[in-house]
Amino acid sequence: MTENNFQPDYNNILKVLYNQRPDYLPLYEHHIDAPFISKALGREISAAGKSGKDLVEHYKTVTGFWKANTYDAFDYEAAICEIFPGHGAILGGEGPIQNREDFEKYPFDDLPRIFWETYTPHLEAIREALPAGMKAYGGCGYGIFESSQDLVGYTSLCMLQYDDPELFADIFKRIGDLYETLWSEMIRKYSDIFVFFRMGDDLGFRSNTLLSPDIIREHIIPQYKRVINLVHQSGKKFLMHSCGCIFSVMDDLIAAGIDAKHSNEDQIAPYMRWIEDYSDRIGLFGGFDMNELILNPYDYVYKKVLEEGTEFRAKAKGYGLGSGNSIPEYASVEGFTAMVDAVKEIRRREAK
Amino acid sequence: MNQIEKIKEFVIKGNFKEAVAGTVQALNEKTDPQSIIDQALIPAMEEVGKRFECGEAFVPEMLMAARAMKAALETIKPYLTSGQSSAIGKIIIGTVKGDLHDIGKNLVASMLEGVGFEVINLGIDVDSNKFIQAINEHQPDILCMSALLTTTMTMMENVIKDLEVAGLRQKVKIMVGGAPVSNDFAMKIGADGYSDNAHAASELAKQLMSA
Repeated sequence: MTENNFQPDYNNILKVLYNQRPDYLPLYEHHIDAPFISKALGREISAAGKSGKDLVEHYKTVTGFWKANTYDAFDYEAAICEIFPGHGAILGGEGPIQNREDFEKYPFDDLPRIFWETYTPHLEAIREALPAGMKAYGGCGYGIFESSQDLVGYTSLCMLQYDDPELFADIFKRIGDLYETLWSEMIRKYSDIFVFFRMGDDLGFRSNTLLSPDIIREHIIPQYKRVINLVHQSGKKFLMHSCGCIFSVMDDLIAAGIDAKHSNEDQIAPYMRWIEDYSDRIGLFGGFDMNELILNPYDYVYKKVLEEGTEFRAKAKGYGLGSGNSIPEYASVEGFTAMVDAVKEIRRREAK
Repeated sequence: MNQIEKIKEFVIKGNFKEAVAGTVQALNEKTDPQSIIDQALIPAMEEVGKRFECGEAFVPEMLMAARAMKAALETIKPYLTSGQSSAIGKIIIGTVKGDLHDIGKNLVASMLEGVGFEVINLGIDVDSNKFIQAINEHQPDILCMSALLTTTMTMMENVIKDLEVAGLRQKVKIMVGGAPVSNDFAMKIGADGYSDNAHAASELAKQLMSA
């Protein structure tokens, strides 16, 4: 992949958040893994252990990759869960909070200090590294539900809902408090480097939500609302990324104020359902199941993205094209390149 | 409502303390232990599974019911005579090598236990050798494999090939599942069946037992 003459314009992708048709079809990814970028560039890139100018150079390489592939903005999330003492239950098992005593002694009050010590160097480096016309999207990484899973463990959380409903409720409120604290500061300090803010919180699996819609409405969406209000009060827009079959709570998310939604899987619903059901109310990102991009050769992906991407752009108002999830390390460079090339062709045809 | 029906309701509601207490009471009243399993525990889990499948129950409700069922079953086991069995078949289940996800696999395991199977859960990141070792040791009727990732689901095919090489393929039925897995994929790699949710998996397992 080589540099080209593309000039990013974050105002173009921002139009999706206003549910307006961007001037040209923007590309969007929830995330592109650093090891994938390494594979595509043919050289190792990693932020690990880097600081100061080295970190700035790292983010210049990362943003350069996104720019070279004609993205208007790139993703950056300061991952909340990763600074949790006892982090890891989001991948399975039990977290550090299993009962009221664990909850009371958990060092919530110390988390903002750890968070900012960890991520300030990255955010400052990004500010220096951003190419002209490009900004980041994201903000504080991980969502309310994901944080609860990391602190408790999903199975334990499910049991807690019935075994100790008061503690179950208190955990979500306390996580909401933490998010309000961290997001307030993120917005205050770094609004200049983010074109819009985003929260990722996977609420569903293939056939339903991971907790009942009523529980999500009662305990999770009110905490989203606190963050969404902060974002909107700052004049920014809010994107929700959530995987799984979450149609049962989509109206609630829209009512809470999300401006756009990302994530789709073909095994749950064809992308056109998202357009038909929601494009009159919110902007939409994605469109192409990650598996399609990973498992198929260049020509297949290129043709599919060219044809369906053209259709999605024509039918949705605010739409940014990308995978339904993200570009993981194991994605094929061939499939990713085919998607990017197809978007360039869509733009070229429209520019004629 | 008789005692059997009460136990069934306690399990459906996920109330394990009452499920155990109700089971103890039934056993004290000389109720046949096998009939508690057959008429209360298994129908209760089937009911929860059906509600889960049609979106009326969610994972927490399924986990709570499974916990109540297991607690009641443990209470019953000492009362079973040598001719009676709490299991309708034996299943080995695991998430394939390279994949660390276990929520869906554990739900399927709970549901299978709930409908009467003995389940040996090998956990996550299970390679062919571990599956083969477990099959040799436990002589299961069915092997269930799960994967959440597109990349790891290909391990299922490797396991099936390794079972053939080890001469074990014809000794077990094989079921596969997980987010990226489809029925087409299952047939392509030579599995005996695929299901996309825990209740469907339990139904498929029962079908395979009688096949």
